[in-house]
Amino acid sequence: MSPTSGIILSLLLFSSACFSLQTKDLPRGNISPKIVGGVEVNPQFKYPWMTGLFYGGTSANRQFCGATVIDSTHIMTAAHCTLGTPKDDVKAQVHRHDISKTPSSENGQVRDVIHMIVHPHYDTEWVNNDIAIWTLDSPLTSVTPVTLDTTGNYASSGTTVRTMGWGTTTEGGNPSTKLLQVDLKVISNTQCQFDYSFNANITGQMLCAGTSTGGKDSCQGDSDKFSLYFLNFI
Amino acid sequence: MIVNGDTSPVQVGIVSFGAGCGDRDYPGIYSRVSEFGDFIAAALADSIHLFSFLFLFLNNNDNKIKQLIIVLASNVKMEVHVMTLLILTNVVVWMVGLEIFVKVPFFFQQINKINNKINISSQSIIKSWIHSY
Repeated sequence: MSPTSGIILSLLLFSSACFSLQTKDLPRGNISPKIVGGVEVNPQFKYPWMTGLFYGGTSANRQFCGATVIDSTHIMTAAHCTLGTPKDDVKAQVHRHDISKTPSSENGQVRDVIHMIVHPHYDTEWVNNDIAIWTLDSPLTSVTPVTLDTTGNYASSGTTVRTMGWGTTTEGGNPSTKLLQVDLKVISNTQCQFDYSFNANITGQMLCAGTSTGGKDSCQGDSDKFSLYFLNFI
Repeated sequence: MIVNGDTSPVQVGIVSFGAGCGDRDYPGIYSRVSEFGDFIAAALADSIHLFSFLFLFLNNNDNKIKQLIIVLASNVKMEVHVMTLLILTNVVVWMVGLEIFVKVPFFFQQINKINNKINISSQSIIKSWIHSY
C-alpha cells in the first residue's frame, strides 16, 4: 500500500469516526419513573456491584445514573445514560454509600471510562433495547460482579423485585446522598401495555414493575404522600 | 433491579423510563436483562481492534510479520464497538474501490481460524451487525 493511499484511508477513518460520534436526542417525554417509598440500604455496601456514574470534570461530583459491575472491567447501564454523555467527563464509582462523602473515605473505587458500547438496536424514540456496557480504564479490585438473569425465569409477574439508587426522595427535593432501595412487584407486559395505552410500546425486551397497590399514590401534588423519582436508579 | 434482594440477588432489569405523573398509575419500565444475553456476551468477548490490525496487515509485505499480526490481533481484547464496525465497513467499501478486497476475506479467514480457538467468531459478530443494519 502506498503512503498516499494510507493517508486517504486515515482520512476515511477519521470522517467515519466524526459521523458516528454525533450524539442523539434523549428519549422523548419524561423518563423518570416514580416509586413510592424507599429506605436506606442496610448494611452499607450490601450490594458490592452497585455503581454510581458521575460527571462534572475532574471533581466528577454529580451523580446522574446507576450501573452494575458485570466483570472486573465492565459495567452495565442504560443506553439513555450513555447518549449525550462524553466519556471523558464521566467517572464510575464502586463501593459507595453516602455520596456526600469523598470516595476515599468509603474505600470507594473510582475509574475512568474508555469505551461505551450501546446496544446496536437501541431505539431512541420508543426507548427499546435500553442497555449499554461500559469499559473501565483499569480493573476493579476485589469486587463481586452481579449475577445476571440469563433464563428469564426470575422475573415472572407478581415477583417482588428491588431497585436501588441515589434518587430524589421527596417531590422537588434534592437527591438522596445515601443509597436507597425500594421493593416493587413485576407487572405483566400485557397489563403494562394496557396501562400505557398508546403512550408506550411495551416490547419483550422490557419489564414493568410498580407498587402492588396501584392507584394514584405518587402523583405530583400529592403532598401528603412520600414519592421517589427514579432518574438514576438501577 | 434485582430479585432475592436479601439472599442471593440476581439482576433482572435496568431502569429505563416511565411516564411522569398523570392521572393514572403508570408502572416503571425496565430493560429485561434476560433478553440481552447475546449483546452482553459480545460486548465482553475477547476479540480484536479489527481495523487497526487490518491496517497493519495490509501495510506489511513480509509474510512472517503478517502471521505475527494475525496472532496478535486474535489475542488482544477489543470492544465490539459500533463505531469500530462502522469504520470497518468504510474500509471494506474503500478497498473494493481499489481492487485490493481480495486481501480482506483472507484476513478474516485467518482471524476466524484463531478466534474459534478462543471461543469467539469475529465473523458472527460482523454478520449479526450487518444484519442489524
